[in-house]
Order: sequence, then C-alpha cells, then structure tokens
Amino acid sequence: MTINLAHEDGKADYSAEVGALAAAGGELLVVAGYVDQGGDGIMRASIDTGAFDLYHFPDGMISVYLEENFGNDVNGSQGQHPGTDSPGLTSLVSMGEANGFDGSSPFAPESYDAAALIMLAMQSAGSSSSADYASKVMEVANAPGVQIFPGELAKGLKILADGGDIDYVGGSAVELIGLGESAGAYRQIEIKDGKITTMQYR
Amino acid sequence: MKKLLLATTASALIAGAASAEDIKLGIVFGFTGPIESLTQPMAQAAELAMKEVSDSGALLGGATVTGLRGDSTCIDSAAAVATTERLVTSDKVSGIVGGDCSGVTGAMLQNVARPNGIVMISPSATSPALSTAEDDGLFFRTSPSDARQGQVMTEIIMERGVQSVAVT
Repeated sequence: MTINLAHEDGKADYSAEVGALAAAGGELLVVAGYVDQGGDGIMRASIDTGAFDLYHFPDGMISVYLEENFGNDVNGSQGQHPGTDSPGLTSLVSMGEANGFDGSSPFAPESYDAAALIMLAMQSAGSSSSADYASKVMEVANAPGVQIFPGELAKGLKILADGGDIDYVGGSAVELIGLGESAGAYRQIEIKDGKITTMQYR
Repeated sequence: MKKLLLATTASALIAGAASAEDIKLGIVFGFTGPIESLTQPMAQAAELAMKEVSDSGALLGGATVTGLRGDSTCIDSAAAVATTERLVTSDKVSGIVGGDCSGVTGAMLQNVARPNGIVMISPSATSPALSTAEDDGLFFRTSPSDARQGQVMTEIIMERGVQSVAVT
C-alpha cells in the first residue's frame, strides 16, 4: 500500500486528494467510498487528471451509478460486494412468500440459518443441552457431508440420526471459519464494456 | 399375540410422546429501536425453521421447538441483558438466536450466555471485535466479520498480480 488517505464526503473538489494519491502512486486505486458521495468526486478527479487507470471497488461503490457515471472509463477495474448465487436463498424466498415474510430481507436468511444450526447441532449431539451441542455447531455447518438447504431440515435431521454427516448450506451459504463465524459470500465483479459483470462468487 | 404386539406398540408410542421434549429457543432481536423494520422478517425466518423441525418430528425423538421473542432494542445493552437473562433463567431456553446489533450481542454473551453456559448464534452482528471475544465455545455467527471483505478484496487484488495500491 503506497498511501491510505481518508476522504471526506460532500466536498465540491477532490483534486487535492487525488493529487496526493497520484504522487504516492500504485498500480491501482482502491476507492473505499460511496459512489453517490465522496467516491464519486474522487473518481471524477482521478479520471479527469489521468491519475489512475485501474480501480478496485468495495461494496459502497458498486451500483448502477458506477456504470452511469464512469462506465467505459473504468473498464478492467474489479470489485466485490456481499452476495451469493446460492440456490438456498431462492428456496428461502419462496418459503417466505408462503409464510408471509420477505426471505431476502437483510439478515433473514442468516436468522433462519442460526436457528437451523442450533437444532441440527442438538440432533448431532443427541441432546438439547448447550454443553453437549455447542461443539457440534461447526461440524454440521461445514463439509464433509450432504449439503442441506432451506426446506430440507427434516432430511438433515434424519441423516444425523442415522450417523451421517451434513454440510449445512442454508439460505446464506453458511461456511463457518475461525472460532465460528461466517466466511461470508461475496460477488467479484469486473467492469466490462462499461457494465458491471459477475466474475465469480467467492 | 397380535393384541399384545399392538399393546406394546401403543405403549411405546405413548412413552415416545411422553419423553419428546418441548425445546425453547430465545429469539433476541431489536423489535423496537433503529433496526425494528429488519427484525420482523428475521424473527419470522427463525420461527419458520423451528416450525419446519417441529413438524418433521425428526428431532431427538419427536421434540418440538418453540421460539420465545425478546427485545434487544439493538442499542441498550442493559435492556438486552435483562431480556436474555429472563429467557435463560425463567423460560429455560436451550439456546439463543441473537443478538442482532454487535454491542448488545457482546453484552448478552458476556453477561448471560457465558455465565449460564448457553449457546448463542447471531445472524447479524458483524463487529470484528466479536471474532476474538472470550466465548467458552458458546458463540457463533452466521454473518461475516466486517474485516472479512477486506481480506477477500486483498485476495482478489493479489490474484491479479497487482503489487502496489493506493487507498482512499
């Protein structure tokens, strides 16, 4: 990292910031801002002065405004934002519709998954006591085992009762890392012909 | 012989029904406060999973699972702790789906879950501080830490062979 220069939102002119960034140099500029606020000004100043040719965009920059305002000026630039193409989310949305709620609402899939993991861990431990099932949460959440999606909890419970392994995927593509938190799912994008295109989910 | 078999089967069924548990799980989200519009679908999703499991009859010999809602308020740690304490000590919940916001979640973990040895799984607390909080193996989250996107971003940039970046 050649420089990490915080920028304020809402300024009329970002040429000073971009001048400092250009002086520090680097093969690309990471614009950790908001596309409808300071991030827009940074991009405009950078493109106008030719300070950087290549950019990287975290989630706050990736929206239709990025295409509309900068489009072909940022071809080849990449970015990422939280997102999944998991079939589990589609299932949960349908189940939500049938039960009167929006399954795609923020953290609704994660909530279904939190409850599901507790119950699947209980089954794996053969006990509803936290002392017994706490150590099973990571096991049922991760590979190896049969993948389990929303609407398939009975299937998961039966596999566990028969002594099998499950890899709970759920509505939010659950993969627990570290001491027990989601790795998260992210959509990696690239700007091609002025449009945001999906490279992969990771 | 046939009668005896039926009688045995019937008593086994009754015994099975008698021993099947009614498991309670706390659902501790901010049903009032700054994210109250989000918490209704969150709670409904958690309750749907519990209904699915209860209806299946496949958990621990036919256990049913009931969700008990408690208000975390999202921002008032004292209120969230009191609510969770009640669910654990009075209602005897076997686990907690929650909390929601990171501050109250940390308070619930340290003041209720750990002292009582109760599992907590948060769907939405994203503070990096919770990655290293003392949890006695009881705390999990189905949301990623806010630090995670930075790690993923670094991986992507390194993969394309870029050696130097400026950040703003």
